[in-house]
Amino acid sequence: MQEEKKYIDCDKAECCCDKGQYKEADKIEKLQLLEHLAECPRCREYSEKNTRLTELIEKAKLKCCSEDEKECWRNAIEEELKKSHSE
Amino acid sequence: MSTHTIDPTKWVDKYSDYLFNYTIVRVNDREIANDLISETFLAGLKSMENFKGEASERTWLISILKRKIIDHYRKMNSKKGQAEVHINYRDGENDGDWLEEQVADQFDKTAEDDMENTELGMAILDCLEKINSKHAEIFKMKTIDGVDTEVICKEFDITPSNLWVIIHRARTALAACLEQNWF
Ligand SMILES: [Zn+2]
Repeated sequence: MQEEKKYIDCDKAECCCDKGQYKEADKIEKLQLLEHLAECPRCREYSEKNTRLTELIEKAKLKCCSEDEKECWRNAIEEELKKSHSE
Repeated sequence: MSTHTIDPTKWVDKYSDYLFNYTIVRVNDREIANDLISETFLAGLKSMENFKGEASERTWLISILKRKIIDHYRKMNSKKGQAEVHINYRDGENDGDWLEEQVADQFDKTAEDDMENTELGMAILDCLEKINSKHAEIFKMKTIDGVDTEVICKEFDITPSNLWVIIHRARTALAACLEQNWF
């Protein structure tokens, strides 16, 4: 059991790294990732960039509009378009 | 030759987050920002025939929004009876400069960081506009709104592994897009 979980390929390593950015990697995934990173410079580079990306996104403090707000705008645009078509 | 087309039915999905982030840092109030964006969309609809296709739809909407923000400041200032508004204010092209001055006045040094962060935020949204729109939507829900994996999977009828593949593609594209200026 333990043996077959030990080695992961680069795709899986990147996926674990992505999950890690959202704190959604479980214990085994974290371990597998660490083991992989120890031997894979390419994934180390990916991991560094990915972490930097997370920092940038946090720094940007982006705000998204809520679905309600968007729905409101969509309706207003639709109404207006209907009006102009019927004119 | 016009290279850009206009399609109001897609405005909200494509540009509202961008317009919102652009506005919120300048007016600092969610409700006012919402009103200004509503007005922008409606003004855009009314002047659609003026859209020449030289600039992108988004640039065009931003130019309308800028004007709405200026009007907002003008109203706010006239309410306060601030005479200096009229000193710098000129119609036409200088609106932008005037706005920058007004906005700059509103911020102290710590807020300069906020401006830089907003610029970064706009760059991120810019990059996300270039990827598959469904992927961008999923990425924003997961990363910016922090929606649970399970909820997103249900809403888009995808499996968690689908979701992580989408997130991976979005992150890779985003990193590549931001690399030159922000990494
Ligand atoms: Zn690797």
